[in-house]
Amino acid sequence: MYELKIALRQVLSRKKQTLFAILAVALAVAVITMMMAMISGFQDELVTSSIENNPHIVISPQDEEEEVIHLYRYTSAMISEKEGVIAVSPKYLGQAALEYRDNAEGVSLQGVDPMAEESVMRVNEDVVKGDLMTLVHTRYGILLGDQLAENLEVNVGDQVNVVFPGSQTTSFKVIGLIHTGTAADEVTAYARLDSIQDFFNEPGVVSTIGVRVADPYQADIIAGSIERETGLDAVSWSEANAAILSLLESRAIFANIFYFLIYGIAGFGIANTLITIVAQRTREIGILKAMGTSQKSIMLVFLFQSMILGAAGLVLGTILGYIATIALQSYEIEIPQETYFGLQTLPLEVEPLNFVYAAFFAFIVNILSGIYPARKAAKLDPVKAIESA
Amino acid sequence: MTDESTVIELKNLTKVYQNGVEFRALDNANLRIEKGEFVAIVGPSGSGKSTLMHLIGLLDTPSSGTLLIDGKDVTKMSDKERSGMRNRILGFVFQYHHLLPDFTALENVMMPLLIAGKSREKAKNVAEELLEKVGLEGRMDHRPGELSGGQNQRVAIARALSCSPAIVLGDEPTGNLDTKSGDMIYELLRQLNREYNQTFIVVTHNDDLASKADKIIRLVDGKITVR
Repeated sequence: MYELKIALRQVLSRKKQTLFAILAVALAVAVITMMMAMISGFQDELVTSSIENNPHIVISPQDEEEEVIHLYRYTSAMISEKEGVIAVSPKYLGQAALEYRDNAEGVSLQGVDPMAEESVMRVNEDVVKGDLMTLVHTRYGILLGDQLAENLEVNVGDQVNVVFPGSQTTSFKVIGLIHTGTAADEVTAYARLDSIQDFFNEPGVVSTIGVRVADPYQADIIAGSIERETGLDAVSWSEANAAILSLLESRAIFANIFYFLIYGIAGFGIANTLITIVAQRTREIGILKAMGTSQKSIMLVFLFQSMILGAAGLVLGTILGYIATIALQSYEIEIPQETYFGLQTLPLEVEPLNFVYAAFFAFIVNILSGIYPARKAAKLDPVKAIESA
Repeated sequence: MTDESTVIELKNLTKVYQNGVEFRALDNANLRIEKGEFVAIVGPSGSGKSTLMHLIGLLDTPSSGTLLIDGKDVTKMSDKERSGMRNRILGFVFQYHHLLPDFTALENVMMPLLIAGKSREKAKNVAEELLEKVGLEGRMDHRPGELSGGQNQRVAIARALSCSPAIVLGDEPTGNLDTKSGDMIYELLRQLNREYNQTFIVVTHNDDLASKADKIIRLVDGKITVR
């Protein structure tokens, strides 16, 4: 491989030129990996919060007039048999008032099977006092959002009254507090499904069924098949968050245009460097031809040079990009909350695949930008090349 | 009809440059050069000496006529075939040494062998032997910038000979050197010619040197006169 040897020598003998060409590629790769870290960090954050804070699929009665799901035990059992479904949690939702001493607050009561709800929603992650599982053996236990508890001035262990017109006022014991960090903390209360059904005099029915699936990206397909089989309305998380997801997608298009431009600039940098090298080395190219180097080999010499510059640049660039991303991550740039869906700091995600993509495309761009100068060199007329001063 | 000893044969070889005006750099040249001959090409500048060299050296293509090298018609060959011939059958020594500046004397001499696909080991042995022959055994690891003009030209000669070419072409190989080094280089070429029985074709302005050749080809306005 004398072509590679010549390429290496020529690259190494022009240290400054080489350095600048490498830096151009490195900066492009670094900027792109950082951009990718921001975008995928942002996307991950939104997707994670959509996936974690909501059931992957919510099943509700299809008919507008029908407010409840009958035969929910059978339906739940059937859904939980489906492939890809991890957990199913039927839920009765009702509005009521909570009273403690002189305080009263409106609440959104969620009647759940604690085990099932935990499997679907991971409620316990947000439980700051007590345990959701205590509900299993506490018929009249209730968990309150921490804001709600504060407003009612109740504590764990206190008894609160649940009041609803037409229902018998029932006393529940506060067994835990929940903090999600959202407005839901002011209105949410969890209790056992059977207690809530009894309270509202609606035994045997639920309002919704939450479903957790193994692969959230399969949720759409599974939701579709649930709809077909049960005749109920099944909405996946991605359908429910369609607006945000399409916003993310359009952002991705702009990001790709941006990457394309950056790569273009870096590519022109490489091409320019190589054109200069070819111009400076014209006579040597002629001599190599006189010695019997074929056009193909001359092309190889210069393609190797662009590959060497590109490879060095992308290695340096990914390192720079990684360091910069880590640095930015630890700096935790604050962003205005209302702009970005409640995110408090700029999320950055170090995704190894992004580095592979950035480096791969940088390399492709390098080879592409090497082709023109390399062809130019290969096509040089040896006589003119040798006689050029 | 080409006999065994003929190494180069030109039949009505013509090169016309069309640069606005038509210029016949080589006009209907017919010539036969035998194996082992030392041929000097002389003539005023612009008479077509270099054009002839470039055509024989496969660096340029004729406008018409045929050129046989080693009995093969080279005018219809592909770039790959022509570069292969340049590599294996032809050796060039230019007026200026034209060594690759980033490589040492040894590496420069090895280069044609590496292009030919020879192993590094083999190339190194041949190159060392040749550099000794041209009297540069102590300068093998020097780069062209660290050698004198005469020394570089000797490296260039060693390079031209590295693939044991049948034909060595010199385009005023001593033109850039002082008389003493020039004579030395010329003697060296003559000596190598006798030793290896290679064909040497040398363009020169120096009548003194030309007179020592086996054959002198005089070119005037692109036409050949053999003496």
